Amino acid sequence: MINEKFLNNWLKILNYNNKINESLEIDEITEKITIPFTPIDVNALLIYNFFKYLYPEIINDQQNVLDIIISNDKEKILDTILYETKEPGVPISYEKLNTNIIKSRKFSTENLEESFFNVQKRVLKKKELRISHIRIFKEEFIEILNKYLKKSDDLSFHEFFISLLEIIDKSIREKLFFISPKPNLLSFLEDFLQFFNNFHLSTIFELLFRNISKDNYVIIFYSRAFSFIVKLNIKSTKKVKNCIKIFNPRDLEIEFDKLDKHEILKKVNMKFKNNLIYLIEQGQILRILNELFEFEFPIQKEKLNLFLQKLLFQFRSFQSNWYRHPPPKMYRAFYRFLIRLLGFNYNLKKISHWAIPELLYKSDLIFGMNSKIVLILYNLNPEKDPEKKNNVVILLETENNAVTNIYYPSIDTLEEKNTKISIKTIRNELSTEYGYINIVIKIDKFLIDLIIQNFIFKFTKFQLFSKLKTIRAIKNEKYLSMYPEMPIYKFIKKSNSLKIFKTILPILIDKHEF
Amino acid sequence: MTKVDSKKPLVVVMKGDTPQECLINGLDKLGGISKFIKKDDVVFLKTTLRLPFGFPNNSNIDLVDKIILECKKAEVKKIFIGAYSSLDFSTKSIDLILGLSSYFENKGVEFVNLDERYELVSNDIKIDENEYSNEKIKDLRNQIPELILNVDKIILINQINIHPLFMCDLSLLNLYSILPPKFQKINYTHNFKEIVQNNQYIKDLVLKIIDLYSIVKPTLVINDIFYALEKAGPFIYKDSKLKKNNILIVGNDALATDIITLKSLGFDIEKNPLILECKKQAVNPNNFDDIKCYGEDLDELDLNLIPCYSNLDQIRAQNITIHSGEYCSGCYHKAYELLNFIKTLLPKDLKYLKECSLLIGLNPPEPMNKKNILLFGECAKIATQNYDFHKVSKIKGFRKKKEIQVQNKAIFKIDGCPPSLKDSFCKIYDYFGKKNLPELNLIYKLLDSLDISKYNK
Repeated sequence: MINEKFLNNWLKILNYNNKINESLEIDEITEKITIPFTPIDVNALLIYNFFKYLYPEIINDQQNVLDIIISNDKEKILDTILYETKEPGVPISYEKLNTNIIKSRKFSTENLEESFFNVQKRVLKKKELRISHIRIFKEEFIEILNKYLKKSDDLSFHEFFISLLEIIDKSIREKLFFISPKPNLLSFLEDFLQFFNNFHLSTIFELLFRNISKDNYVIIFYSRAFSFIVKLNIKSTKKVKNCIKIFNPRDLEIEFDKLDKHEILKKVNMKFKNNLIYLIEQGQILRILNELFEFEFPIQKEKLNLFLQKLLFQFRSFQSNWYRHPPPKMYRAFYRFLIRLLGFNYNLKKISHWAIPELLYKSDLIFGMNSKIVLILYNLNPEKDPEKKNNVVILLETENNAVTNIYYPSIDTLEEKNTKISIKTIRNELSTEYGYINIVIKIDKFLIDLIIQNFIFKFTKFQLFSKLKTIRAIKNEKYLSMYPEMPIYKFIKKSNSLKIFKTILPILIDKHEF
Repeated sequence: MTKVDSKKPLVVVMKGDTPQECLINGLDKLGGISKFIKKDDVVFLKTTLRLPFGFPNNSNIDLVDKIILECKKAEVKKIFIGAYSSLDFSTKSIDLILGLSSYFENKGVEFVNLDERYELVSNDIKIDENEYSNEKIKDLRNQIPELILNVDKIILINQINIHPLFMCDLSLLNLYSILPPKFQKINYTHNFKEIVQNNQYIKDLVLKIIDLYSIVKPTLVINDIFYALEKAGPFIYKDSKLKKNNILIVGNDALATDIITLKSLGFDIEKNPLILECKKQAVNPNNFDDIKCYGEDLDELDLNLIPCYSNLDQIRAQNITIHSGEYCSGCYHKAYELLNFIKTLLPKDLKYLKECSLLIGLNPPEPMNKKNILLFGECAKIATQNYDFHKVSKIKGFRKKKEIQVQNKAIFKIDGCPPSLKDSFCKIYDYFGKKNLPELNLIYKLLDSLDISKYNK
């Protein structure tokens, strides 16, 4: 059964939830408990608030839940635990029910909706309690979780995230747990992992982690009802407990209710010096995430366009939806004015959130509405980084503006010296098997990292030279080559880096008068 | 294999899961590829190659591959493939962007650079005087590349999309693009009013298409409506929708195949100017009953494609107000293309244009706003000569302020009857400037980097 330490912690959480629900003095609760599935200790009140404000937004916003543990062959019901919730999302009691409460013949993970309906009826009859959803775990899931929980205390920040994502990945792919009614988050993850069959959640995290600047961050997730502060020290290779700390504003003796956001940032800065402090509106993040989870696969470009518009709008909403201390220099009028004198309009408050996604439509013109594009993610310096020797070949097939299929063809080794001829041959070879290939793009991981670093993570910094360096890398066939060559690629190759930057910038940034 | 032997033109409407499957079954119904292609034939595959962009701007290459395979099975001597583009792109520049020649070379097929390698038939070539009694047709014949005239068989692979003048892209229209772009164009230099009133443009275009059809007749015609653009076309525009119909139409006669295609797509053939003129000139097949149609039942198909906007106002390009008078199909066609391309390629620039009035045709209504007036075509230029917007009042003087009438400089004129798309973009770029048109500026730079001018004669 489940790890004893985890269970004890879980019971403690329920106990505190119950106490808080019974309107005990909140200030009296000072004890630290561990966030489930993580080694991070926080104040019990914070966990209560997570359940109260986040669980209903992401999983289910109704009361009472039943956990069911089933055998790996799905034939037997091993355990049933009922959690009563007075407020949606906040469990306050733990009651093991007799497994006979569920009739095996009326329970099947193949027909979850009907099973849920039957279980709901049975629980209502026996316990006079209406459950809003069921969570079903296979025995194997518990075993994997136990293995992870055993070592979780000793993991570093990086290892912790990778392990957690691997568990999620495996559990979803191998259908080790179910929730009914299915929340959008779960549907999204299932579809995403099924669609991007060879991709792993941990790979995406790796890509981002590799490129994020290893500073100390403090992130304030702000909302009127419940704010919390996360302190991240991702540079550290220490245990997770030391890398991530989560605080209630009360822990820092800051009353958020009485302060405006600039004052909050200043106060938090006084507590955590030498840190980059971000304040993000929780509501905006949840809105974006909920939009993302509502995506259906294959994703239609029109929906993606709308989503990107909303995402970019968040980026440009500095000092309305997100704040930073110290504020990025690029947002200072004088600094911007100086850069404008040099001929660059780099006003991030005017990021063209509506025009940038429109570029997606232009890709329809080049590649067509039905197309096949081959991407070769190539690592040019395997000696330097022996772990990442593998080249990934992805064939994206689109139909009517949506990626409908992803294939992972195998190709013979790329010739490093004569890449152009080599990718031309690859195009012809793959066309025999998959039909007409519109384009083969070979891109080095080094360039991907450079683009993520300089154009995404460092988007608040002007840093002309690092941006020009990225453009120079794009021009270098060692890092990027394609066949046939797209007009934009030809333009980049033939033009001076500064000219490219000056030509493209007015499309990415709206006009702004000082 | 269905044995088919008939003097009537044969057309098969084939349904299937893939275009390739439809093609094979369609050919089977027509008696197999050997009915059309013989051993050691030299074959020219005329495809749709409108722009250096992807499908369905151009033909479905997977379908073309299947045809190539079939031709090879018939042991042909040589296969050529090619076409001229619809706009001012040379075949070479299209090839550079799409990488077609190396692709087809790998399949043992020659992608023909019609602009460079194959010269036009010289005027002194011997023409059978009896064959071409009409001088106009003789001239037209001289404009067709020699290669196309010399091959044994022509197979037409036509990607069907919606079309502003002919309901949809008919195979006869596709055949028209065996003429170099400069000969495809129809321009007028005088009598603009009469041209508008008689709707001369479409009449002349239709006559030219039919004349060309009398010279070159494809052996096999494939109208690919498996996927087709509706609502806006024939190029991919912002408003275009790709409809999957799962149908391919194959025939041994271009006109017959077009009639069946129009019927399949739910269009009224009696309203199609090309079909009407063919009927008038008694080009066979003269009516629907003269065609032997196999495969799907046309009455049950129900494919109805959404037609193009018939009114320019419906295109709704932001910040551009259309003031239209009486205009002909030439101006409508070019303005339709211009507005759709602006809407598709320059969404950002449109926001910066401020209020812009596009005046088109004879006697367009006078715009309220006297700024940014675009006079589209010769007829609009002539018809608005006496309009008030040519003068604007200006206050002059420091002490004694005086209102005077001066020439309105916020007017720009696009010449030509009908104006060309290239000139229209150039005029817009010159008038608004690169700062207001960052996207058009980028497009021009992309075109420069392609050295298109080097390949465009």
